[in-house]
Amino acid sequence: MPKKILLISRSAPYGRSTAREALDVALAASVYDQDISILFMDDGVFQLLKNQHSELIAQKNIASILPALPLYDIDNIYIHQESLDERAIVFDDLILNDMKPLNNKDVGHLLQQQDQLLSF
Amino acid sequence: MIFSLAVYSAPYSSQASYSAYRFTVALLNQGHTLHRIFFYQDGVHNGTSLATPPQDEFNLQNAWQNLAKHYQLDLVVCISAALRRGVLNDGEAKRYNKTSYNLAQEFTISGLGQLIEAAAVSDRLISFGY
Amino acid sequence: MINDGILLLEDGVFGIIPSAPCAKSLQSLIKQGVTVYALIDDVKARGIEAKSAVNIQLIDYDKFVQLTIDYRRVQSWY
Repeated sequence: MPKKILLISRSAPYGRSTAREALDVALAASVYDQDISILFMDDGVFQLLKNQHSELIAQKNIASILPALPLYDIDNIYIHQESLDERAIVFDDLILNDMKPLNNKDVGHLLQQQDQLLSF
Repeated sequence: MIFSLAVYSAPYSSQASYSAYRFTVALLNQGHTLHRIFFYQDGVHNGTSLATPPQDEFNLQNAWQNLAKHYQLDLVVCISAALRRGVLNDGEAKRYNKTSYNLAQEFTISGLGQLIEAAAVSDRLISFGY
Repeated sequence: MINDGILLLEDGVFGIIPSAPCAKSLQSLIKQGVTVYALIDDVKARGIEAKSAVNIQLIDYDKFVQLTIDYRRVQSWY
């Protein structure tokens, strides 16, 4: 019986490795036949901005990895609306446009539906 | 109750690894099962056998090793995170032509899948650090 | 009915002080039925036990383990 596992990615890209290593978990998870979802919130929403040129600081481009998530069987990609609003980010700024926006209450419901929460 | 832990921070730099250690001791004392501790990100530094704090300070790496011996714990460092940070076992050192290795005997080195597997088979997966 | 709990640990325990930046939010959550705990060794280590808000429960590691059993899901907000 597959478990519902939610990855919560709350770190901005590049300053620390946290965002990148959270994404690596998401990509590695696909072969284990679990029900994997990912939620971007707090500074984690900065990972999704367009026009990243991380090669200037010798790092792999996170925004170029993100569109691969559905190929790795991660069907549910959520983004926290309040985190976007607090940072004055609109959907047009984002590299993915098929994410499901969730407000505070929705996030609470989402967490309650999970078997395990992996926080990064 | 089957537990697994994920540890993401380096010992000494952050309290998180020590918190994980105390949580582990408490859950084992209560008779719960510990399926695995997965060390990821800077948490892989928990696996080094070369850490040498002053005599009068708590040696977390030694504490993990002693606990692992006593309870036959499955302590796993993530291979990709560990290689990037210079934490290697004998086999990886040979593979990459390094002159030495530093992973303590009580630890194994394995892939990220071990974190997902731990989440899948455990009743609780508790994360420490970031 | 809210059945959530928050455990403050490590530097998070400074939140038990009534003048802390997050204290108002914590008190408002307590009013809504959330139980707030703080890890007593982390509290005592920082010399702030006497400053704790009265409606925050100071607990040890054994209770910490028990809370992760009593609450079905555990999220670490580092």
